[in-house]
Amino acid sequence: MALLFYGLVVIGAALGISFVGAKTTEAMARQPEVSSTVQTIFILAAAFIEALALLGFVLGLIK
Amino acid sequence: MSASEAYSPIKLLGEHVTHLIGSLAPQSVTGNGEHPVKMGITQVAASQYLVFFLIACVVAIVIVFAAKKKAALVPKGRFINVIEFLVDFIRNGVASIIKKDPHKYVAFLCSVFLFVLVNNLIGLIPGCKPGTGTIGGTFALGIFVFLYATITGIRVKGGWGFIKGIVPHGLPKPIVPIVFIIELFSMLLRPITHALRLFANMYAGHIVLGIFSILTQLFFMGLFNSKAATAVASPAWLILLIAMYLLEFVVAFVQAYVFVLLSAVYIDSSVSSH
Repeated sequence: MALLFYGLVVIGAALGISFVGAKTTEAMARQPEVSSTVQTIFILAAAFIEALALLGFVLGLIK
Repeated sequence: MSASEAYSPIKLLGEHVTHLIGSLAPQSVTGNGEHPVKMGITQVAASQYLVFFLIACVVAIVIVFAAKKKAALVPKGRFINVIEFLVDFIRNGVASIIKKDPHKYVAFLCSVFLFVLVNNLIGLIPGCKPGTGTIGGTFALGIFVFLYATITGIRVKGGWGFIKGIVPHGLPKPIVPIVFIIELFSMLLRPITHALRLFANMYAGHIVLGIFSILTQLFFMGLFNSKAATAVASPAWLILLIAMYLLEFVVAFVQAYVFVLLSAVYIDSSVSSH
């Protein structure tokens, strides 16, 4: 049961990170000159989303 | 296991993984249940993570002093060039997030980055554990960064200015208290999420590496059990293990980068006015 819920959590995080990644690629393709700034923001956003999935992982360990 | 029973690595996996996860729990190295180390009213125990934490401390300090000795206007040699690259990377890529006086915080951010990176990399040596792979270690780092950000914020903007800075400028008066409470709450949660992110990444990475090594070993055991079918698959597991190891190598760098990037964001939010 815990695994099932963790799977659901991961779906949300995966959608979030893939959306951020797609938009980052798009922004970089449109304006390659700002790619370094966009990359920093991408990693920040990905880290924030990833934290949610990892919270699920840790709660699963605690039980 | 009787000889007639089919040798199935996947079936044996669960037992090994339980053992692996059990071995990752902090275990005391200073004293056992019968002979605890007493300090005041509480018992103090050093876990195996603390040992690797201290090793990382020593390694980081040695790196810093070696770099200081070799520092020159025109850096020569591989080691000092790598250090220069890292410092330059922190100064231009991370500290530049802070809008007000970024050069003041380069030293702090470099130390945090070096320490987390050394910790993560030590965890990749087979048999070693990452000092950042335990919630206590990363929580200490998270609290440290939080205190540093808060104290520098109060020092730069003054006590009242810091409290005012929690709420963004230009909000209508009635909703300021609500926003203040929400922002305060999210600010106090920062060290927790900051610590959990690093801990969970390193812990999960360590478990994944462990599971792949167990699988590789179990499939190679097929050679000795004269089960050619499983032994044939073993090189594939070995290649996967090496691929995961390289991935974890990248993750060690990325997580140190993310940790220091978020530290810079937190410092920025407490020292710059927005």
